[in-house]
Amino acid sequence: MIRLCDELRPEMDWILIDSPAGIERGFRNAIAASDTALIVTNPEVSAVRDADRIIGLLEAEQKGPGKLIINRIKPELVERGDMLDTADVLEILAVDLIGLIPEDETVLISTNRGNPAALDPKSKAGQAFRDIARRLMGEDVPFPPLNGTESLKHRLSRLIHPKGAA
Amino acid sequence: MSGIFDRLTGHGGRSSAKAAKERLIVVLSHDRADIGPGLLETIKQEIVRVISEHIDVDPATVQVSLFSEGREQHLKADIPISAASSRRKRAL
Repeated sequence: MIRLCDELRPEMDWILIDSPAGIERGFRNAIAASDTALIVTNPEVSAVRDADRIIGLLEAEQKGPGKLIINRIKPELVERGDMLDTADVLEILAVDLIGLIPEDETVLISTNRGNPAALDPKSKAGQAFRDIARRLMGEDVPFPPLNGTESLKHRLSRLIHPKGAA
Repeated sequence: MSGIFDRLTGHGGRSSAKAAKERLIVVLSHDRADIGPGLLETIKQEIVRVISEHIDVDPATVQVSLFSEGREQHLKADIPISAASSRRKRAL
């Protein structure tokens, strides 16, 4: 893996290595040549627990702490108090955030067709993927409000200041 | 009052996200430190034994627990000193 990546390094700007889930050999192989890591988790108890273990292993291998992507967020569940919100996950895992991806059926449809969701201008998840890419490139891209309380706050502030910049 | 509001809005009791967070905090503190409840109890008994050589402590009031600060794990021991031993044994 290290030799393969060293061959690719001079020709490529970015090499993305997709690690298999879990902490077995596949994971160790995937991180062997990596410079940094993006940890993808869902806002669910078991997934966050696995992510925490991965972050611990990355730190032990001097590859950490990595940056976090929270995937398949359902804003209506967050609003109802039935899904961990972004602040909860960040507080628990104590790592930097690089992406928030909403649950989006266009992902399923585009993978069915074999078209990347990132290239679909109408896909919310696609927008989130493009935002992550820009943050990786060092751009300061604000996180759009996905989470219930934030959207409520925005709606309220729009009611109060219809043309306000809030 | 908030209970009535919760019932009206369909939230039976506290939110499940809150429960998820609390469960994660407990599980992860043990995962990270790799210390199970058994080892924690052993550590507690050892601490009580050592401290008891110098001052009176009631083992029932001693609490040894794990907590996180960021990604750092801390072992916390809360050892109330029995009232009788406040005037140190050593003074005798």
